[in-house]
Amino acid sequence: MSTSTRPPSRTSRIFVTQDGRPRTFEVADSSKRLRFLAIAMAFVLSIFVARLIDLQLLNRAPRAEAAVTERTATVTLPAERGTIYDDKMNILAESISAVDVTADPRLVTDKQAYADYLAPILNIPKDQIIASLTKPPDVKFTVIAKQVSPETWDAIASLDLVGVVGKPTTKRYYPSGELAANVLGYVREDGEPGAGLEYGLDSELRGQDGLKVYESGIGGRQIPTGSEREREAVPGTSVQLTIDRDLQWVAQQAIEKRVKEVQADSGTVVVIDPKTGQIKALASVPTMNPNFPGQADDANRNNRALTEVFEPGSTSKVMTMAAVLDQKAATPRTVFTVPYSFSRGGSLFRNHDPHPTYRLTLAGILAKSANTGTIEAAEKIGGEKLYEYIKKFGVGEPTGLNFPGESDGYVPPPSDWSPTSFPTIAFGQGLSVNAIQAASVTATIANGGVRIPNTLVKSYIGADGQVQQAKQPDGIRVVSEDAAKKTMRMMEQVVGDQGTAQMAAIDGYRVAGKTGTAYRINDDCGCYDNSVTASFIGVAPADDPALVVAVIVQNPKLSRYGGMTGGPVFREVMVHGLQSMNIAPSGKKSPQLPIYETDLKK
Amino acid sequence: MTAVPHAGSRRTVLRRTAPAVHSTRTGVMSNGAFALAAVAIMSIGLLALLVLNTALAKGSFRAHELRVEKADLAQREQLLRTQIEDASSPVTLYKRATDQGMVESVTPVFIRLSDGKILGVPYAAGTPLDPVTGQPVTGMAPTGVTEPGAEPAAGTTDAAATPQPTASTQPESQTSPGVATGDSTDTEQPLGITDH
Repeated sequence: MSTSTRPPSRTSRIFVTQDGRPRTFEVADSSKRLRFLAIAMAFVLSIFVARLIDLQLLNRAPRAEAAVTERTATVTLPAERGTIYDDKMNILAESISAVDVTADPRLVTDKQAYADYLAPILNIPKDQIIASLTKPPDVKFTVIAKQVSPETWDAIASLDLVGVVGKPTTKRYYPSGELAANVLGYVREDGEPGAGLEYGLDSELRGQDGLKVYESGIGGRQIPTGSEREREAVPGTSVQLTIDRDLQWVAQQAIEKRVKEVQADSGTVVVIDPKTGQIKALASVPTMNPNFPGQADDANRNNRALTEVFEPGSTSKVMTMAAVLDQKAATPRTVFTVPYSFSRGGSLFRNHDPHPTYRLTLAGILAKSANTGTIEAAEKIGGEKLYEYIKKFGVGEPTGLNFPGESDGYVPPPSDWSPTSFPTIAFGQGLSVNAIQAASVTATIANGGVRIPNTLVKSYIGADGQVQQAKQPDGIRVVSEDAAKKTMRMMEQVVGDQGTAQMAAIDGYRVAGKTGTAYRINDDCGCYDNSVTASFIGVAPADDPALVVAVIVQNPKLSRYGGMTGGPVFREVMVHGLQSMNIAPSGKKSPQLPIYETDLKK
Repeated sequence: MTAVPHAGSRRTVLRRTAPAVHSTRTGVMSNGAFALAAVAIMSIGLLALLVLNTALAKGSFRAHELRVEKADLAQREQLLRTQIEDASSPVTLYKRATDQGMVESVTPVFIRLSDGKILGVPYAAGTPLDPVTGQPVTGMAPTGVTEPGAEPAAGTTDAAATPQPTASTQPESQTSPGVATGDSTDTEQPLGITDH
């Protein structure tokens, strides 16, 4: 009972039962233990808290960053490059998916076996594959083949070759190969544009790459509840050109054939709709295949129709005649005394073949392409005026196409003229034009004297399908409608049986045009070397112009004359153009203009 | 009287305290139920989260599968589309047409449906072009390359025999080949006077 004598502990007093039985012994003991445990726990917890402070407050940012980096995957979402269409929405250039075949050379044990497997599928030599697999031991990555088709990659993937990995990419594909290649340009393997409209319209076509950042789990799969950031790729704008795919092909075929036949250096065909200024075809040979731009010569990747300039020669007489008629200095019936040769500015100017002095009308001068007669006609308006007209026709001015590498041509201002400049320029030497400018002169005449700057782009098609028509440039009046009409009638005589370009005639249609055979500067010596630029620029139907076709052949060795050289190409392209545009002949005959003074009396 | 109320008050106190004790007992039982409920809610919550996560993960797997399928279909679509483009390209069409024996027409000819009138000058398919005049000639063997250096001299050809509805032969054409039958350019003139 000794326990009963013990005074009740202060802590247990409240637990004393009504019968007074003390139970302080166990309680006092557990209190000690509790205290000990509480302290121990507090200690442990304080460590936790300290660690927590360390993790959450002191070193929070770098750790969080490290964790996120570990499971974050960043993927570039490549923007799809816009498609290039022809005027009837046929695809000329598009981006398609492709695969780069890559390998980790360290994992490839038997290079010969790999080459044996891969060579027939990739269609590349075995040596090349072995070479790409032979790398220093620290190299982890090598490219075996770039931009193969997904089907080709499927065939390789089914072989289960260790270390061979396919890397998805895109490739620019030109379904019609060489068709309009010099207009379109090409895109390099790294996705950068190389030339042509691919280069010129890159900012529209390119679009904007997107970015996706997400938390990834095993196998790179996205963690569904993880954080995710995505900036969508903005696809490039597609472009509809004014080029007619079929007409382009006919033009390209015709000029390619002709350049071979006459053993020329190069050739160009320009087809323009004179009423709108739209370029329907722009062919240049030799050309390239934009699917394999690396295989082409540098010179053939550019567009000669715009990057090369030449002296137009007699086709330029159209400008002189239109200027004379616009100034009302003469009419097509005005008679000139045309000698075989005469002296101007201390130099002798001659016509092509010796002849007795003729009495030719203005129309006759153009039909016969007489240099002396053209100089006499130009003298009626003077050099300043002639220069003004030539500039207004667009010579030496940008075409407005903004084509990469475009050359504006040049006509020297009268202040820079030597005594022989004026007579020379009057018949088309001593000034230079590109093929578009040369064609544009005839297009201006065909459009009633109003020059419409040429265009290659019809519309822009946004990724959302929104179509935005390209701005139609305003026309510039160069000569009066009357002067243009008279010039056209005179140009019809050129294709008539008195003229220099009978080859260009098309049965049933009224055709107008002008031939040109100009001396050209040899790039090698920078001098005239007796080689020529042969050209024919014509329009049909002359009574309601629908198409202007310019054919320019550089340095033909077997046929020097413009009518002979360019005529057949003009005819072939024009026949196809009239046919495809459903332009039936009017059935009217070209009015005959007097050529000689004697014709006037009839 | 005082005791009674006292005893009564005691009883009242007891009576009053009794429900208090009872209520304490009820509280204890409620706590157990509460714990059970909490555990149950937590379990349900965790289970729901598990189910939800599984569903999400399943969705993610499905999305992955569909993405793969989409890529396959896109590849197939691309293959078929490029095949159509290749087949409809003028390059292929021309080849296939000529392989079937088709030829290019020599002149555009139209039939006006309103009165059946033929517009243009028709020629038999494959009519060759005269190498000098460039015009279609009937009864002539096909000629390939044009004679080199030939001049389109007015009137020197068989232009009369060639259908030329747009022009008539003039007597002068026979007697006036002197002036620039080809294109006239001066051989010497441009030399040395060009400004570039």
